Amino acid sequence: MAGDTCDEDRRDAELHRRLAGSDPAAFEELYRRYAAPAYGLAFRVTGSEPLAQEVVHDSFLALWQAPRAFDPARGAFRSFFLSLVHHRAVDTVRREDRLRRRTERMNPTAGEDEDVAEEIVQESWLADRRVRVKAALERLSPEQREVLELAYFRGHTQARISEELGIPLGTVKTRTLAAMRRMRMLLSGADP
Amino acid sequence: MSLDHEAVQEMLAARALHALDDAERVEADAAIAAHLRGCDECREATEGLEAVAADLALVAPPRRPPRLLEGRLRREIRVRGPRRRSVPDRWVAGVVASVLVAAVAGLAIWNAHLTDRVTTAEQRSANTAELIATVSNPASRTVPLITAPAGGPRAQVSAAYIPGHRRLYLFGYLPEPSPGRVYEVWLARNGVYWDAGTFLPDERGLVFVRIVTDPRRFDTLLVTLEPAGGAPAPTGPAVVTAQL
Repeated sequence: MAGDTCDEDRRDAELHRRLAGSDPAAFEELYRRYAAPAYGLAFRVTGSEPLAQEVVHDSFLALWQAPRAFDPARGAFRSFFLSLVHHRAVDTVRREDRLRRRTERMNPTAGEDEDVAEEIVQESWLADRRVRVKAALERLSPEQREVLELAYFRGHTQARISEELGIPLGTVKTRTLAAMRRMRMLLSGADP
Repeated sequence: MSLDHEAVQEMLAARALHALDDAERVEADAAIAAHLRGCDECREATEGLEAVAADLALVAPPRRPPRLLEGRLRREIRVRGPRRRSVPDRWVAGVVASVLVAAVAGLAIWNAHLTDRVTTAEQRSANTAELIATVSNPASRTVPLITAPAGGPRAQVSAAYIPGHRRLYLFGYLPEPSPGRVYEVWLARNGVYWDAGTFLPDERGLVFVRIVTDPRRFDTLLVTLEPAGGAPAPTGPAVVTAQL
């Protein structure tokens, strides 16, 4: 049964407070809560187990060493930490671009049936949110989904997306913003 | 540069997705920061777009990382212990009278690219967020620094602060100094200079410096090129400067 997101955010905030006091038990609990989504995200972006492990390792170590990089006043820990993991994954994949090209690419939707850790999601308090986000993505136009996929999950810059899709950079920008706005409306319930 | 809401929000969306390269991100951050200061609409959009990007992370199917990874991390945090985050206090030059030293006790500089060897994505992201939080405050002041010839054509640095807050930020681009040289920040009042620390831009020329002090106590900000280790008083050529 998924917990209430606000309760879980408060739980994260408490764990972060203890982490800032160098409490290893808080670190371990945050690892238990976020290792799977972090590793899943890193793997999705890098397409590589070793690179994903490097990203997750470095992200958690950075969290331990610099816990105050997260400011609770600026949002949820979940958003901060997964954004950190994503940023590291994107940096890694750009650095390892050649490796990425010869690694089998994950299709945005294919492969989820192969997810050996799906049960983690279903038991996780993040499950409900994940379902909502996926449903919102499905309601975007294919063109909007495509730019989000290329930017967020493949780590492409907008300039590279423009090249890859053969469309003007300005179109990539407007399409991306439109996609993000639509996602925001859908997730807030303003566009049922 | 003045941008409309749409252009700024396009940059905000790209930034939230990490879809800009480093140079584009710096340019975008500067433009966003300038715009957000006076735009409630785009400030509100910032939070919304970042929240959407954070939610996208959940779409990736979670995977259980190898157990070895958890064991490795557990060992490493035991060995390394907590990281010390205290900023290195930089005292003013030895020639400054003790009364002046007392006046600037607490004047400190923290430079991510010198003192924080684990600085990478998360710290840059935190720096950017901190900077945007500062410049988007309606009470904040952003001061473009005037580039002197020693700064070269690429130098572009601004200072930002919120009156009443003990933080002064320098951010922008500076070229890599020649070997054995560093940049040194000076704050001055009535012609008396305080050393606020040395720094180097990162490998891409990016500068982010946080100085812990109340900038209203000073009338001038100056960056000079000095020998590695810094100088007790400004001796090298001025690179950028501003009246505070």
